[in-house]
Amino acid sequence: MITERLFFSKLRDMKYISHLDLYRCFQRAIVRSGLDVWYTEGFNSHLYLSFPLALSLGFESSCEVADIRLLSPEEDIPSRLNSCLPQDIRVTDAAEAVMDPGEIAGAEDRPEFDDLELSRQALEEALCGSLSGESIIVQKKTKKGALKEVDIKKDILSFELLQDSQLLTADAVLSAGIQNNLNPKVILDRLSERLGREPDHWLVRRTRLITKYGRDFR
Amino acid sequence: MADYIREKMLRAVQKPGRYIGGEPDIIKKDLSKVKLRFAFCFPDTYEIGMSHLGIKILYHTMNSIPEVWCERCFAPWFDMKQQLELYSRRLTTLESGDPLCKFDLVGFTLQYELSYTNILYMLDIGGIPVLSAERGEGDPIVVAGGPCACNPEPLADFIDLFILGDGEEVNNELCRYMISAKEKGLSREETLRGAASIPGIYLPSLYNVEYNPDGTIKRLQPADGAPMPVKKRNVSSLDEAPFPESFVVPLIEVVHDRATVEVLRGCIRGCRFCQAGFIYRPFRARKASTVNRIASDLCANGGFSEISLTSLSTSDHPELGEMLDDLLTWTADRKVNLSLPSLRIDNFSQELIDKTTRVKKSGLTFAPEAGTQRLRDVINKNITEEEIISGCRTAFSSGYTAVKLYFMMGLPTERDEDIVGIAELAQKIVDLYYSLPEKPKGKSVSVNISVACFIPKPFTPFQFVAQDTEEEFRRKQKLLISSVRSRKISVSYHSSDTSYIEAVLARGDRRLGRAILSAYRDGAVFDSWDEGFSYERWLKAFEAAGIDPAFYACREREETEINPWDHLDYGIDKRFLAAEYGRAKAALTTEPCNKKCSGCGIAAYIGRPCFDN
Repeated sequence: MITERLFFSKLRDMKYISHLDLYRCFQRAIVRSGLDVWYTEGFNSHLYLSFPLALSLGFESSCEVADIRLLSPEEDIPSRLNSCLPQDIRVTDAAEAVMDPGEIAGAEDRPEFDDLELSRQALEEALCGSLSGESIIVQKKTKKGALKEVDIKKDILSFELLQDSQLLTADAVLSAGIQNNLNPKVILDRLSERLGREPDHWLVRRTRLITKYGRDFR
Repeated sequence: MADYIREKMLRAVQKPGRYIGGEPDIIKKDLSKVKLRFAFCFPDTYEIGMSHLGIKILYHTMNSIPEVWCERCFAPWFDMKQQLELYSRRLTTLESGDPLCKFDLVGFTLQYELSYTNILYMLDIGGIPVLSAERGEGDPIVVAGGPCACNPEPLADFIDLFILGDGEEVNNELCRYMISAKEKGLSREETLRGAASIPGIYLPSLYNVEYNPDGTIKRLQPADGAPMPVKKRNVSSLDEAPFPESFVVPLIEVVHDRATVEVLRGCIRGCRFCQAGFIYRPFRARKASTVNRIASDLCANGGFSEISLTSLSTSDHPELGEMLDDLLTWTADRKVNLSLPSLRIDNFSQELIDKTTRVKKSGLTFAPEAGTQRLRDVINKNITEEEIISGCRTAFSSGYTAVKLYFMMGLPTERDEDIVGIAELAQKIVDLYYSLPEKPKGKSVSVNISVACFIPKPFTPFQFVAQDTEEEFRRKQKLLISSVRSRKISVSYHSSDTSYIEAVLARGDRRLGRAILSAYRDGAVFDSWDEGFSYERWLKAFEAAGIDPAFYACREREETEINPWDHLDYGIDKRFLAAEYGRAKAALTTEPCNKKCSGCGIAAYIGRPCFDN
């Protein structure tokens, strides 16, 4: 049995497909593609499919990962799956899994912002201001529902603005994975807090998953 | 620039996946090659609409014409409604994202009466005048079909054309006709008049209704050359009728997420309360081999893990055994589960259980409909208590511990003992379970009885019947609850409020249009949902329109009275319906069509006997 890792993008309207629905969508596509996959052997037998890192609803990504198990080697996996997937979910590569999902330590995200009333410069100042300071304290809900103050500064591994982009865009590397995980939405939340409202436009695209040594997750 | 407002709206709603389309197999066409645009509207949420088989069949048949583009549209839920209002945006289809007002034809499927206000809602936010009379040359032509089109009169103010009967052929004829009308440059009026000559198309504005002082219909006067009666359409062979090889597979979870194959149309049983059992006549079967091919294609093309064989009574299929055997040669290997939603308890066998649950066991539901034999005879539900008990025994012996039973209350001639009989029957099933040595060990039984309020419907022998009043329904519901003595039995029942409004709309006439409009103007949408329905609002709307709802729901009608739907010919003879009602009152049953023809009129309509015997 081969654990095959699928690398795929989830763009445009597909950002509104939830994790659970994405699961079903891939399940369908795998059945349709005719790939020789392994089914679990429990009471409720289903094909094995696992997403090492979940993407929040509303975010785009060009670096999503899904694991399946093949009973025999298969050819042309991306094209076979793509013909059964929605247009804006595209499998870009498939290869035998190299790393353990637990090795994911960070994600590179590209948040982009625009506002019809604020100039780019004003927006940029607000964004940078909202993330400056020795510590960045945010309210987080604990599992019991109580609010807790957390410093997220350490989970922002790097943050810089992209100079040549049309809209105000940042390149942010944030903690991701099972150890520490920072939802890129905090950047939007910080900005909105400073502006007193959400900017007219925001979009986050995840572009890379990395290990703690800074290598691409494969 | 991206559409910032659209993104804001999608982010603000709970289930954005309902509004984005983008499913694999979605049909998109090059507008420059399209001559006719059809917006297929389902007046309920995406999850409900995408579970409906009819829309899948018609989407496929209409799109099989290269120059016709049929797109889908569903009713936006309250959160999206608010967003559309906030940003003054219009309701659009999922395929092109164009507003409804840009289409040539906007078609609604009429599945249940309580969806009527949603039609007004969708037209309104789609940028189309709600009233037919207010639409002009540039506006779409609004059509509607489906089961409720058999009495379309309450919607006559809003719908330009109704499509009666099976849609597979007539929809395409209408589309082709519309293309030629556009090419000829016909006016709206000319186009509508011309469409009315297509068999199965009913143009309500061609018929003038006069009323008696007591509110009943005096006469219905067709305009010159208008067909009278208007005949429903009928697909002569279900086996040859088009059926899609693939469905648009939803990306979000819908109510029924499975491959559905219609195995039968029409029904041989003649249950006297059942509208579908009469309006879909004659009985037509799809061949076992065809069902098998379709099911296999659907599973391969859609990746489904469940096949549902649907019909009004699947176990009446003449080749049921063969059909299941064919399907079972591949379903288990492909991890596909078989489900048969409409089984009759009288031909429910161990063999059938084994076949349908080879992959996964699903729940069991039977519909005895009434609690006593006398009342089951009245409604012509020809099953006996022994058959119910033996069906449950079979189920329990093969490991089932839960049975759901459907009943109705408020049936004609119903007495208190019939209500008590429901509880007694449920108790007998509980007792049966505990008496069986082979019952599943250590498990308790659960008998769930679900009781609906009976709603008399057009084209049934009970179309003449007065519905029970709300007080009667409530009293009977209490009586039933107090008659249940076991905690193994749970009772759920429908609200009498919604059943009453449904009854009014089901047998209503054109004057109800004012009430529907008034209810909508007062905020009525999603009436079939608890979140939307307001009884007070409907009562207010009837009052505002000067209508007594009880006149429509709770009045016994004479055979000689002209019903609002009497000018529509569904092949069912009114004299037959009246005679059946007479037999019902005498508790006399009528045999299924395949045993003995009861002379309903459909054989004359199709010009041959329905069965060879």
